[in-house]
Amino acid sequence: MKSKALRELYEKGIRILGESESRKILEEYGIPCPKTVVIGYEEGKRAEEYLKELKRSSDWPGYPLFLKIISPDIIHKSDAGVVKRVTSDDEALAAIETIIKNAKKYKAGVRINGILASQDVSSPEARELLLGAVYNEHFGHLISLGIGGVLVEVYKDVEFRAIPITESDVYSMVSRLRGRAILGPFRGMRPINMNALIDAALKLSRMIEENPEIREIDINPFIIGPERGFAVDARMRVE
Amino acid sequence: MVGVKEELEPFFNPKSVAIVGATIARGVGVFNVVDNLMSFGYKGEIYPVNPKYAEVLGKKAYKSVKDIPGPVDLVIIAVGRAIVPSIVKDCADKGVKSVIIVTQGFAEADEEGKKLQDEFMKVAKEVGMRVVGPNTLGTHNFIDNFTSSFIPIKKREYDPIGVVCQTGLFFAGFPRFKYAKAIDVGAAIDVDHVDVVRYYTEDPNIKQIFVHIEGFARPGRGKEFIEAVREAKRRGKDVIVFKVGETEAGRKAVMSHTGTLAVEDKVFDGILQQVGAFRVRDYNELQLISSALLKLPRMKGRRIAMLTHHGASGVMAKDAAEEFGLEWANLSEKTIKAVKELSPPWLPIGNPVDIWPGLMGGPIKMHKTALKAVLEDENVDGVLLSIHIADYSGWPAVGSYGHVDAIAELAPQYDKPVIVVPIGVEQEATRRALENVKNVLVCDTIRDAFKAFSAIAPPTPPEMQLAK
Repeated sequence: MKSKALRELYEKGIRILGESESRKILEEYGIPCPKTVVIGYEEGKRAEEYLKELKRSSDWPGYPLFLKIISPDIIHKSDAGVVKRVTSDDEALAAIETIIKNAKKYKAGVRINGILASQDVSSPEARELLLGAVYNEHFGHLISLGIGGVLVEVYKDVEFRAIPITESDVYSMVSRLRGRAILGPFRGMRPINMNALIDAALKLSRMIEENPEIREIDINPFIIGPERGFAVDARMRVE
Repeated sequence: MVGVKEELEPFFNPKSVAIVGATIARGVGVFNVVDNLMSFGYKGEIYPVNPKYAEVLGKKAYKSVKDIPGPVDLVIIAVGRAIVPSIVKDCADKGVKSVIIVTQGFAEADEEGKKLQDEFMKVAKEVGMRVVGPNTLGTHNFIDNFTSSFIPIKKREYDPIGVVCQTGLFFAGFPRFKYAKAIDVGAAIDVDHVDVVRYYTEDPNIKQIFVHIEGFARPGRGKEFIEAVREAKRRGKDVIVFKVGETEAGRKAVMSHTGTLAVEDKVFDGILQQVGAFRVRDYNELQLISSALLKLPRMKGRRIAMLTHHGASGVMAKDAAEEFGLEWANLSEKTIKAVKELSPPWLPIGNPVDIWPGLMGGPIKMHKTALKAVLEDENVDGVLLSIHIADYSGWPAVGSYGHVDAIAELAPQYDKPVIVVPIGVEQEATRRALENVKNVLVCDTIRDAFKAFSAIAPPTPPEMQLAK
């Protein structure tokens, strides 16, 4: 376990890492993540105060951005109405009140740990991919690359390769996806930046090699356009 | 440490072999290993072991392996499962290092079977004995005339192919898949696919390795399989894999999409891509890919030229080229000129090249001219001929179209693959006529032809892969 961030969490007994915990490890390995700020939740604190604290941070991403509730109890955040995209201070204030209200409605005794503001890295040219890894008892750790988003298990359009992977493995994985055309130029969109995808996949491969305790990880979506790629949401399980 | 070649060699080519459970019965429907060995031309010592007989087919029979006077390279055990551990113990005492267990009904069957298996494997491990099976036909070797198979197999010609499988069915071979050596690893509790791939890698007689696998018997062997296949590839050997069956093992992860989607078949597929092995999914594909790799020179690029008797085949070919990622060659001025001179003036010359109108002026000349032109064309990496030979009464016999002679004369002179798809009732005659011509493969369908090209073509350059 080479990752300092992972070791810290591991020593606290944490085995399932959510989005904000996973990103610490991804960032340690140079996998780009959207800029985010987290403010701890306090009962009774006003929306204006949260926003002031968020904006004071050096990581404040600027608008547009997503506001989310951090809670270990809420897995599917969009369904629970605890994620809002906002483009101004006014929208942000309203959204903070709404997502706190929705989180409390989610279930009795729900744990709310904080409020997260994260950069909206989507763009008209962005595509959603899945990047991940899983331990396989025969072949050891595998890297996955496929068509991401909420329909990932419908399309099942994912390729696997054993670690360590190479640049040509990434090309080969992409070329074998049924949906590979969406990565190239289509409907006026420029092709994705393959180098950014290769860079992230190779960094993920190294991260898994150096931290074999990671048994599963999903980066879904990995949002990538003609210029940059971002690990927008990630979860992992450690043993 | 003994290398894998030395360790497995006695299974394929022992100097002496004992058959425990040898029988005196012969004839149709009797599976007699001693009989098979003798008629297969095996030259080593044969020791039948069976306390019931003094002699088996003229060979002195022994009560126990321990009674055999000389050294024993290999023991084939085909007795009831209950006494297998005691036979293995005899083998260990005798100093035998290689044992094939034909008997079935061990760990894969029930608790009692597992107990028996643990018992004999403990003995084997203690003395460093290698075990093939249980539940196996063992080995078959056309090069050195050895077989442990209780099913009789005739001597025949062979190609430099080594087979490792988990069923005796591949021992039968196929008309276009004539292996030299085969081993059925059965339940693969000791000697497994990884060991055998390494053995064939060391074997100068083997150029192509065929792996039929249902799954790995032990965790972690997949990683070693990757290394073994990579080493085989480095040593210039092709690896073809027939993966069947889906087991639940290795899918314990449940949290992630990645874990859920990592089903065995999909994972294997990716791994085989990664190591450069060919995956086949049925016997036809096996024969096609195997013979393409053995018979055809490798393409330097992915550009195909097609000579066809009919436009319809050209249309089929366009679809197949798209499916398998092959490209259409831009024929050189020289090629176009050569074909144009023999064609009617109204015919546009493209690729696929329609040679039918030109044949009307003399089929022999047209076949030779067009074939020579594309073989010499630097823009062409592979040549496809789609030939229509119908059984029109009164038409001359196969070859008088000039195509067989043209191919047989020209194809061996160039370092380019020539794939022929004859259509018509004389397809088989064309196949036979071209069977042993260098650089030529006869395929049944246009799609097969492109599948074969894709096996011998270099990988698509990365930037192209994304554009497609």
